[in-house]
Amino acid sequence: MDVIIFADRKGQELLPLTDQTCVPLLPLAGKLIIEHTLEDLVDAGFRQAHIILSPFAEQVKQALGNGKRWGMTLSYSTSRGEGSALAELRRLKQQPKTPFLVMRGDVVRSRSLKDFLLQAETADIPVVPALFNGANAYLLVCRNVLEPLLHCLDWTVASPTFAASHAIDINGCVARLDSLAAFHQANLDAAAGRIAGLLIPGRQAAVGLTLGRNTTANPQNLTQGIALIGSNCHLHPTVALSGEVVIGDNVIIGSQASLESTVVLPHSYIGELVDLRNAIVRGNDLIRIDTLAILKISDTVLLDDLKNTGVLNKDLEATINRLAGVLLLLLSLPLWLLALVLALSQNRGKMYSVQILRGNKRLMDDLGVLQRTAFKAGEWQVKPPVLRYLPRILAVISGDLRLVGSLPVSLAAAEKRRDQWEKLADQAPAGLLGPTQLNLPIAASDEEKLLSDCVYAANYSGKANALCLLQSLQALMTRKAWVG
Amino acid sequence: MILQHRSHNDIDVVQLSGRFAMADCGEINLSIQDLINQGHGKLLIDMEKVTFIDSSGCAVLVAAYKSLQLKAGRLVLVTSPSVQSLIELTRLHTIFEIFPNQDAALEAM
Repeated sequence: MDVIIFADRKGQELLPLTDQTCVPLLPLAGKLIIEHTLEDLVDAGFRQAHIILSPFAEQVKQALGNGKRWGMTLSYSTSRGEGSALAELRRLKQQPKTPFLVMRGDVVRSRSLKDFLLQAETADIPVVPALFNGANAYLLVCRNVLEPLLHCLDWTVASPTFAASHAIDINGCVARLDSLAAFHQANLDAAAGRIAGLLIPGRQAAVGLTLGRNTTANPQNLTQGIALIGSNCHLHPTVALSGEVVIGDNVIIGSQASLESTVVLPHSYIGELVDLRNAIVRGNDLIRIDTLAILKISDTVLLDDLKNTGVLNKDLEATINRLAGVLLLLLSLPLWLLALVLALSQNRGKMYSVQILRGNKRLMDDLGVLQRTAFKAGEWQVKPPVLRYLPRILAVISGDLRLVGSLPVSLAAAEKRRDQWEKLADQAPAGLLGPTQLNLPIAASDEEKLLSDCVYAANYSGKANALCLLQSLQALMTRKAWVG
Repeated sequence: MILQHRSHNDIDVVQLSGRFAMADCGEINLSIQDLINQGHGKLLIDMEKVTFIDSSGCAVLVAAYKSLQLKAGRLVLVTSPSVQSLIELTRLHTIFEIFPNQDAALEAM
């Protein structure tokens, strides 16, 4: 039987957790949300599935690959997200053979797929939706691709309408994960075994305490309740966990910290004496479930994002870039004189102009959010690009620009980038040289420049930057560089 | 790059084939913008026979999308695997309506 998994939620209701990833890739009790669906499918004997993705599709493909890890074959397609299931199925290149199983992979349900399929076999109706204790389980067997009842899979349909007699109601539970509170509760429920049948990773170190591999924690850390701790975590012996606590992979918790009914997402640091209750922690984001306050903690002694602490590498990279800037400045000194003479002869009135552009340095704003800062970028008012942009070498030396990067833009232009695809370009640092600067004419449209930077950001790597540097050297030998 | 245009009811169907890269983009952009200005606000761009697309080609699609949005129109794409790859790489699949073939796209419009 063919299997179609919808994992195309836009995830607005789970912001800020979904600002850098999508719902299927959020962690739930030590695994990605979509992994629980895949494991359920494998348990029911399925070995292939087609997944419909939307935001951060490339991350899902990278995380799940071809499905070999689960003994499955996975294929993918993309959509605009949260569309009608019926329309999305019609859009598939290869239509599923009827009957087929269709389900959402961005919700979590107890392991009841086998039971449902057994009962669905005998039901003589075109579409058999599943209810788990009366709630829509976003799971159905379909005998007709064009069946309108497929709307019970649509994320935007609050309460689908179908007669209970036309559905199979079985014992189980569904976590819709439709709010931060629901996400928090689902994690606690999964850790406590209230979502039956989920495979929770780790070994039982003491009653109620499950630890992932390479994790340092003591049974006395758990004062009361249940704690599920992921891999590669370090808890100081004086940390106190109570109630139900879920801690993701690669988390460090300092001495005398106290956590109660809290979910900690991977790569987070919790400092000494920090007291957390009914909260979700993601890096330096603190989300209070009781008040729904979302706080950005700027004091890294309290909370920190361990993904941002590759300080040595980042500092080294920045230093190398700045040194390269100094070298370039020394090599280009004779050109500065040439630029001055040309500017004097061509534009005596305005030889030099200054633009305010967004650089790579980051500072915390009033809300504690790291924002890229502006810098003054000078330009000689001459035609040859090589001479025109010479003053930007100074921005490389100051660290505002990288030697190779995306095209620097004004703060106003950067603020206009609202769609997910537009923000992709912001993932690459701004640079003096880059594919957009080298390949596109100055008069190219904004869309063209933005898309060129999106492609650069999507393929960002040291190798790509090295190739770009080589291309820059070649470009120096061209007439275009010296004539404009 | 070859551009063919036909009308199907009130839908403008543009069929592109070959390489959709920077060198041809200016001309194609002008043709598509003309069609949008004169058309009924429904545009289908069929790129099933496009063998290569670059960021400039995608920029033409984004420009068409924005122009149609201003007219409250609708843009639907049919993609080849190489076009689909770049669209997904640049996350444009989150704004474009994409169909596997022209028949399915026309039916949906």
